[in-house]
Order: sequence, then C-alpha cells, then structure tokens
Amino acid sequence: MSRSVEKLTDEQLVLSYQDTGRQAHVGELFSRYKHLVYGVCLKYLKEEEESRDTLMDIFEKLLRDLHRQKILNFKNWLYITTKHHCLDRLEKREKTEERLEKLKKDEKSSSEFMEFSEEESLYNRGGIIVQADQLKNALKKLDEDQRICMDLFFIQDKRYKEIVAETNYTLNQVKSYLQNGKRNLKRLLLEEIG
Amino acid sequence: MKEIFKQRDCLSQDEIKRYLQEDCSRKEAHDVENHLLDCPFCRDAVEGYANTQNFEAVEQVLEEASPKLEVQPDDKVVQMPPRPPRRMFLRIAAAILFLLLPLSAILYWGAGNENRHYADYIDAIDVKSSQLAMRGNADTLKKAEVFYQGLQAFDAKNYQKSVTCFNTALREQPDDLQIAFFSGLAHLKAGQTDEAIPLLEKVLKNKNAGYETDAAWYLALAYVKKGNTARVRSLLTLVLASDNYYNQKAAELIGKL
Repeated sequence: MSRSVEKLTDEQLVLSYQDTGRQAHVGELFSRYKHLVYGVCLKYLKEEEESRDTLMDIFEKLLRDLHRQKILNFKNWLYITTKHHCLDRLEKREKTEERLEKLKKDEKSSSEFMEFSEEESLYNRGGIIVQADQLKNALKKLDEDQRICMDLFFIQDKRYKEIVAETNYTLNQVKSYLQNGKRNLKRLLLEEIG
Repeated sequence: MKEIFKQRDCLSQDEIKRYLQEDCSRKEAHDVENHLLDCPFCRDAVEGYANTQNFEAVEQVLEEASPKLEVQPDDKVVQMPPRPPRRMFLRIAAAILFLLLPLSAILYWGAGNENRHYADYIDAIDVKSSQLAMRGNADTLKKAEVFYQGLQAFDAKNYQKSVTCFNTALREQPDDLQIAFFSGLAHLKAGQTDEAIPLLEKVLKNKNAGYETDAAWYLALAYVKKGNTARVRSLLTLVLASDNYYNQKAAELIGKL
C-alpha cells in the first residue's frame, strides 16, 4: 500500500474509494479500526469465532456500502454499523426474544446512569484549555456525585479503580458520573466563555 | 492549567493491551481513561477485550485479517476468508422469487399510477438509519434506549416495531425533531401514510432539524400515494434545489408526473 494512502484522512479515503473504487482504500480504513471493531464484537457477541466472522462481515459491508453512502464521519458510522451488526447477529443467534431482551437489559443496566454522548464526543474535535480557577468554579455547579468523581479524576489525577476504592460508587457509576460530569462541565465552560 | 478536553486519536491495539495488562505508566493509564470518557467506540472495544486474557489469540486474529487486505497488487482484488456454502439458501430464494414474480407483476400493473410511483421510489434510495442518524442536529444519539431499538428495527425492515419504538421515544421527547423524522419515515415505510404526513410536515417546517431534504423527499412520496400531484411537485422542486443524494430520483419522478 502506498504511503500516500496512509496519509489520507478517513473521510478522504471514503471519498476516494467512492470515486475510484480502489479497494486498497477500504483496506486502509479497515486496518485503522479493525482492532476496535473486533473489540466491540467481543463485547457484544462474547465468542471469539463469531466475532472473527463478524469482523469480516463488517469488512465486506464496507466494500459494499461505502460506495453508495454519504458518510460525514467515518469512525462514528463504523461504530454504529458495528454495533448494529452485532445486535442483529445476536437476534439471529438467540432467536428467542426473551434472551435478547435480557441482553439489552444487561446493557441498559450497565449504563444505567449513562447518557449517550457519541455525537458530542466524535464530532466535537475542538479542545478547551481550562484555567484552574475556572475549573473549580465550574465543578461547584455539578451534581454532588459528578463533582466528587470529577475532582478525584481531574484534580487529584486518580484512576477509575482508585475512585471506586475511595468512594462507595461502583465502577459503572464512576464511569457514568465522569462521562456525564465531563459533558456538563464542557457545557458550563462554553456558556462561561460565551 | 488543565487539558481536560485534550483531543487525541483512538486507542491503538497496543495501548489497549498495555492498559488492560497494567503495563503502562500512571499518566498513560489516566490519559486512556480520559479518552474512554469521550469515545464510545474505544470504550466498547476495551470492554470487549477486558474479558479476553489471551491477547496473543487476538493479535493472531487481527494479523490474519491483515495480509488479505494489504496484499492487493492491482488494488482491486480482496481475498476473503472461506465462508460457509450458501447454495441451498440461494436455490430456495430463487425458487420463491420465481413464484412471486408473476404475482408481483399482476399487482404492480393492476395498481394506479400513484401506487406504482410510490412502489418504484419508496425503497429506491437505500439509506440505513445509522447513516441518517449521523445527520441532523447535535443531539443525535442522546436519546432513550428505545430510540436506538427503533433504529435497529428500522434497519431490519421491521417497520411496525420501529414505529412502536419511535412513538415511545416521541412520548418521552415530544419536541425532538429527529425522533419525529424517524417516526414519520417508519410510518411511511409501514404503509401508514396518514400518520407519516403530519410528522414529516413538522420536520420540514423546522430547518434546524437538519432533515429538511429527507423530509421533503419522503413527504413527496407520501403525497404521491395520496394523489396530491401539486404538492409532490413543490416538494420535489425543494429537493432539487440543493445537491443531495435524492436528486437523481427526484428528477426522474418529477418527469413522470
């Protein structure tokens, strides 16, 4: 594969594939994200063999669908596509609605406190540098649970498991308070900046 | 000064492995955890690998996928791994198709122009909900789980189920135009034109929704079915006013009216 292909952005590769049909461009896209796709497959399908098969299904899907789809953010599209594909597989594998509902419930309960933030995280590429006093003021405005976790993670540089050890929160709660707290903090800071 | 919102690329395979095996510095691990707060793709992948202790097997799977993708002398041929034979399935599918074709022809030519045009164009553009969901306003995926289930049912062409899901989501967020759009589209695909029209009209009126052209195209098809040619023309003109992937079909359809 030529170096120039490696230097192209995801979206440039998609456009180039749509223009030229060169499968090497899809290969490059796949090689950039295959480890993430496979990880997502392992999370949902739990079986290595089926995950491996699904990984190749996704690649075939890229070859087939990238031609005719207007894709603004490839990574976002690939994540959603992979997740859909895994859930479809589960539906076919399990066949019984009860089992599928249980899996969906499990997923829901594991993210009980989480709010989806894919759009914000994957589309918003602008960084914000935060002054210490700005950060402290903004933190005060967060819910208590979020504030505690945010303080431990960003001010005291603790890791997830250390926060779990220091508080009564579960690991899922810590992740959730941090995800939601970070999003709320960003909103507060942007409001402050105007 | 804190770089809480520092942007970085997604995690590499090696970073995921070292993070899960606690084989990285405290700062690196903290950096990874900060990224995981923002990136659902990496978050799900790390969760997937967390249950896998055998990283050698993982690396082998990913390596085996690599040569088939990278060794492409003419950039055209991609060797796929062997897949299970599907001949029997194809034969059955062909037989069913053979039996259904005459029946479809009778139904098609027996229908009026309105229904024929509708049938010709309702599935003419293969748009997956995941693709449409990436468009529109900034709140795309901040929705209840039931909305996501609606998207999944929609892609599986289970339109009645997707209608139920989207309507449930719409009850929770009645002002959300993205849900209104999907609900309208699902109603239309489920053959419930009267229910689809007010929802799509609502989306069309609001330019901030980001689904103006999509709503115009599908509304045009809804009005094709209702026989309101004047309204179809004005909607198709709206579609043709901007460069989008409905253009070609819109131009075709307007020529047939």
